Amino acid sequence: MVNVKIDGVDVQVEPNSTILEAAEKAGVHIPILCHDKVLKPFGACRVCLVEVKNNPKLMTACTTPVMDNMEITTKNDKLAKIRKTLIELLLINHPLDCPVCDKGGECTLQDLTYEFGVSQVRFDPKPNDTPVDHTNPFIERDIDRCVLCGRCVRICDEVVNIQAISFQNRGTDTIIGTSFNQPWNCEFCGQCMSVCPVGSLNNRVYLFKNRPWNLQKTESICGLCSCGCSILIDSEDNEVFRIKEDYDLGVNKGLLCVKGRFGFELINNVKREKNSKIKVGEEFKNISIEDAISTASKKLAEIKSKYGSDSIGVVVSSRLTNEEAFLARKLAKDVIGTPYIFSSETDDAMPEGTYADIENADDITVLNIDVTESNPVLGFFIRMTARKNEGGLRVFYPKMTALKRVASEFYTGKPSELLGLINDFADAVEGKSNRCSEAASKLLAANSPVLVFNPYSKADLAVVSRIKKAQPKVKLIPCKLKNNSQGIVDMGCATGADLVDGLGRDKIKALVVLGENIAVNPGYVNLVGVLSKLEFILSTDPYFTETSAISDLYIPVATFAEKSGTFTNFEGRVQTVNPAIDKGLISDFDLLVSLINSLGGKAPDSVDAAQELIRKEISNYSGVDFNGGVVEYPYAVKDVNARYEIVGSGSYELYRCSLRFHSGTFTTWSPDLTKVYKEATIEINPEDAADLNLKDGDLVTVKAGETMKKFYVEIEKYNPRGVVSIPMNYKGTEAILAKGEYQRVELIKHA
Amino acid sequence: MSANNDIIEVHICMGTAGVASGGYEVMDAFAAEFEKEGISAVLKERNCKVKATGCRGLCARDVLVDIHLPGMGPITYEHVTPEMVPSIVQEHIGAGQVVDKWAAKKDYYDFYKLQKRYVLKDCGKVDPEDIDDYISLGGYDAIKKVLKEMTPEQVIDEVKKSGLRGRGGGGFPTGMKWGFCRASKGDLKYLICNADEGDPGAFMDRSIIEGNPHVVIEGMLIAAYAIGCKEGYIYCRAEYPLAIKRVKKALRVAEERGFLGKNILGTDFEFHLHLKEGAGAFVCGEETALIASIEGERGMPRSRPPFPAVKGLWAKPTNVNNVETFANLPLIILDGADYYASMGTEKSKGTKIFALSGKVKSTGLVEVPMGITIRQLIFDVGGGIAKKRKFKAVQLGGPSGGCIPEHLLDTPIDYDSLIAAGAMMGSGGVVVMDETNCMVNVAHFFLTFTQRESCGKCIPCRIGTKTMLDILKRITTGEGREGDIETLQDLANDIKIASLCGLGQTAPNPVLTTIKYFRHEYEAHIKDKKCPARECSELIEFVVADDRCKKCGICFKVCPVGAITWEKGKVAYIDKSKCVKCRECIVNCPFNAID
Ligand SMILES: Cc1cc2nc3c(=O)[nH]c(=O)nc-3n(C[C@H](O)[C@H](O)[C@H](O)COP(=O)(O)O)c2cc1C
Ligand code: SF4
Ligand code: SF4
Ligand code: SF4
Ligand code: FES
Repeated sequence: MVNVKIDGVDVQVEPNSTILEAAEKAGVHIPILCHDKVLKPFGACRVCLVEVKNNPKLMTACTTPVMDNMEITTKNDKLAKIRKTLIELLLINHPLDCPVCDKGGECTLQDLTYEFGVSQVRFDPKPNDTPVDHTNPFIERDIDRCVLCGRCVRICDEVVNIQAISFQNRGTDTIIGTSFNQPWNCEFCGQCMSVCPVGSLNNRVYLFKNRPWNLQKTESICGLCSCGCSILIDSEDNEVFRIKEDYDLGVNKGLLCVKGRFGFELINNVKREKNSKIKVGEEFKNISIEDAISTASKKLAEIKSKYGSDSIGVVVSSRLTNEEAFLARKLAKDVIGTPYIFSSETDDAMPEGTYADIENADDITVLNIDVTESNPVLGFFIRMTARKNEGGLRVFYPKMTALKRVASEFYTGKPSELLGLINDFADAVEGKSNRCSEAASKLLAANSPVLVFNPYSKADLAVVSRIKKAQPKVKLIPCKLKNNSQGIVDMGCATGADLVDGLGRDKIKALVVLGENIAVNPGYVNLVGVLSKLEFILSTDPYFTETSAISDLYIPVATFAEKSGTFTNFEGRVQTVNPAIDKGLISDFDLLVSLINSLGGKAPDSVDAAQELIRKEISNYSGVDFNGGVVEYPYAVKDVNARYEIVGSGSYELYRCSLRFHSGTFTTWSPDLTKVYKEATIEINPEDAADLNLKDGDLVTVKAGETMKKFYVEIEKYNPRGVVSIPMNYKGTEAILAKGEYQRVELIKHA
Repeated sequence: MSANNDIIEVHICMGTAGVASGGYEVMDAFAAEFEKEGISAVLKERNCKVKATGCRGLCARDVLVDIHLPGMGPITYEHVTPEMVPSIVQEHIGAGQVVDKWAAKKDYYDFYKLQKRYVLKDCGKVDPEDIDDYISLGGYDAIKKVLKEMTPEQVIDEVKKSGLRGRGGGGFPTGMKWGFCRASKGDLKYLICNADEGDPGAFMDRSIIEGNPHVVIEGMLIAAYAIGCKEGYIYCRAEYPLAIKRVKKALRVAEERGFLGKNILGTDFEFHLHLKEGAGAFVCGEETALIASIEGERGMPRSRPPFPAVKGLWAKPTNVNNVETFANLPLIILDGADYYASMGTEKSKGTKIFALSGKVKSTGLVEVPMGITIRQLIFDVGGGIAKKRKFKAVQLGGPSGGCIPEHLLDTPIDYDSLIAAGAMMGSGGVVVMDETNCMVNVAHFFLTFTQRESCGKCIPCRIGTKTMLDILKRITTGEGREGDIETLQDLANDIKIASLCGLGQTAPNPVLTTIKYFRHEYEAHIKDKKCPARECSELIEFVVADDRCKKCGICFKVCPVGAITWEKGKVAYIDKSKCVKCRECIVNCPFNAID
């Protein structure tokens, strides 16, 4: 620790802290413009200049490390004058269109102008006037308002590691743009926009819709994947206007992905159903929520008494809160008394590694998953660490992914070759093979290794369990899919009961489907016929989905932005979800409370009461802080015995991929995300496409056994020759993807 | 080194200017001449050697050729063309008769009289593409001595004792800088030679590299040994193709001869040296921008601390020195720190190379001992002001240096005195101005350069210099306002204090010094809307003053658009409707008769 004095206040700080960090600790405010906590010091704007005793030069607080016994002055006439001049200079070319600028009210330039007391500018104004750029579907770029702080460029480089935008030209001609002024095509994560201090990079989904001071901020957790990102939901009059980040909240350091940041219109979507519906003949009829609930409980009681309690199954979506999942289990087990609780989750792998483990890792293996697409913010952490470590990142995946810029070893290839290589790697880690021994010995020699994998693939799990045994130091990170994939396992909803099996044995006569769109789930694709024979299906969902359409009773429910509760992310971290708006709909929680009570049970009467019960009944949740605490698990991975299998025959090898724009079918309700990616496409290597005479956007038929399905073509230069991929969880993909993780298929071009 | 006794040596200047002026053609002409039949009668059994040498500084007079006859001092010929070669061979070499009409005159020798050719002593003598020639002149003896007799600490002490300060502009004590880098922790340290030389008009580094590349390599070896660097870069301005070619060759040959690579000279000292071509921006000469550029990043300066000595290239400890700094080192080692420190002033030791340009008679590269006065530099070495005009000011230190007026001409040339006068050593650019130069325009000229070269990273430099330039432009076009001078001064000071790198921190200097020493010229522009030097065309009336016109008619003859009427014995008249304000009449009128 070193001692420094800032404006007379003594503080002790870590030796490598900057003056700015020390000032923060001392409670002294130093103005900044170009600095951002998540980025490396840059020192461009000079707004943070301070005086250091016995140093003739002024120093930038954001870049200068403290030294023992440093004495720092942050405010005096000289500094005030310079800061004022800097702002005056910025205002020469600034358009001063604050009344129509989305940033008005939360703009650092406005704030500094006010803070430094710049009431007039000594220099002749020369406002810029350049057309705005709309080539990015989510971000508007108005270079005239840019102050060239470089935050956007730096975050895209240092954190996102994409370098989609950079400084162009020099001196006064400098602008932020893409190389050669190409259309701005990137990951659309919006990190650049989130750090822009002025109105130069703007959220097109929010553009001109509101003013920040009208918005009410609600801290919550994003409900779109298992990263568990903290968000601020900005709303007014029960409408969500934007989702923002906050560096100081939660685990994600202010990072979000395209879904979380720009997908929020799915909450406001006017197509959301407001009425419960009951099927009368072939038609649906609106009924009141009270009638819907009483119909449901009557129907369930009836079937239970007619066929026995194990004639009813409950399907639980991984989007439900812990409290909802807990009640769902209660309803099934304790009230109805059925063993049939279904979910698409497994307890084969449990959380172990955390974001902090990634940051401290000296060796990271990403096994057969495109983590940027499946869990984008986890992907950012991996990239940041690999960038900082200058290596130590090994990736196995059929094609090069966004990790390619930072990976030190990247193994790609046809599944038929890659999967063998993965096995070799596991063998080598176990000391049984010489192939891949270099990579294996790095993993074995590492002090804090991390392994990131897909917990839904049995064959991958088998490899993971072998590696874990051979190198117990390795921290496992299962890339769980949805926002509460882990929580519903913890609440006892991953019973191992198989819906296909359960329905197949004709035992089940009624289903309660809570938020899961089973009709398009590849695992359940063959069930649709069986389902129609059931006597009663109750489904809930914020939208009227394919599953709702085959139900007898549908109840529209709240999204994550409208309810309370907790989610448990892939780290096993429990975090609190808060309602930001009210669309006048009940939540699954409310519905479950009513069903339990009307079917003779006794439900807790509030989310808080449910949490009390969870603490009592779920042992590893008992001591956990529901506001960010991490659950401890008895094991990280089960002993799984499975082998890679490539099914079918044909000249192309097909694998399932993930897509960051969407998370299941849920996000397809966002009009903005679907603008960029709407329908599942098949990705094909350019040479293969040329052989088949296919262009981007052409239709091609995939023939897997007897199943044929048409897809639009997307040429993907990173897919190896002879390899094609189709994203999971899109409508229309289930029939093909249900056949297996890897398969051989034929492609047939249309005339 | 003078030429061998029975060898006739012909030295042909082959710097960039020498080559451009036809050096190779002249060289071929000599070779052809020596092949001719009957030549043995002329040479009289003496051997003859034609040698390409590096620049000696007087590029305006290229191609320069020295003839070294046994028993006779070297004679220099100026502006040599191939056609002159047969006469020189026949008359001078054959008959011992100097061809007077082409031989250099007194002013040529005056140019060198006050100079101390120390660092440049072999430039112009040694063949830059022949390592053996360098070795024969004592080349690589210094590194041999260092490796054999000295510890790294002793080398650093010797350099400290010599008082050598960085020649790249800042004048930081070289030995101390090395000490910092040596003290930094880390196995891998980098040494960088800054050969980016972006100052317009400066060409000392180019001359050294083109003229004697091995001396730079040897200097770097000494530094690498002292600091403990295994890897090094020469960052050379891409616009110097000849320098690049010669460095490439020198690196290759030096490695072949065991001066670079592993086990240098049989010791376990290891040093690998690479060439990196510059990114073509002035600011890339700034050491942190240079480092960024080598890393493949945009050439933008970075904040210090951390200093390169702690965290430089690829975050490793790095030492950056200028070409001329390195070229001093073999001399310090061989001649000893005491001898070296005997040259110069108390705080500025050794010599300094300057590029003299502007309105002096002899422009070119000069090397003088530290401590001579500015007056001596301009009037004795440079031969004074051309065209019999009056001296007005001199800009010292390149475009971001300062403008020194007549009453400070006796300021000694050393780092600290120049700073005190408002100028700086900089890289050594010296631009002399006479009475026809408008000082506001001069400030505008230099600031135009620095403003254009601003990398754009920091606000004060990016927008501040542009704003100053706009105000200067206004003043020179008659739009100046009351208060502009104060605004300029005020803004200039803020830019100096607040800018990130040396470019912004010094860019306002020409404006501040011209305001300080020539404020009346600014006032004349702003208040009277007049340019006293009649350089700012918007502020010239283009009227012939009856009382001063001597009716010579010169203006009439030079006007390119026929706007002037004149008859013998009559005062000239300018038709303003035709005048395009080109200022030809003003520049050419011997009597300053046009207002
Ligand atoms: C804008 C700018 C341009 C510079 N250009 C050069 C250059 O061309 N050559 C050089 O040696 N130093 C240049 N410098 C100085 C270098 O930053 C550095 O101080 C120098 O190379 C150190 O070498 P020295 O200690 O031997 O002087 C420049 C500095 C600035 C601020
Ligand atoms: S949206 Fe993300 S990937 Fe695109 S430019 Fe911004 S930071 Fe980079
Ligand atoms: S666009 Fe915004 S973040 Fe990027 S440099 Fe400009 S002001 Fe900074
Ligand atoms: S002072 Fe000028 S050149 Fe230096 S960093 Fe700032 S903008 Fe770039
Ligand atoms: S905030 Fe420190 S220089 Fe910009």
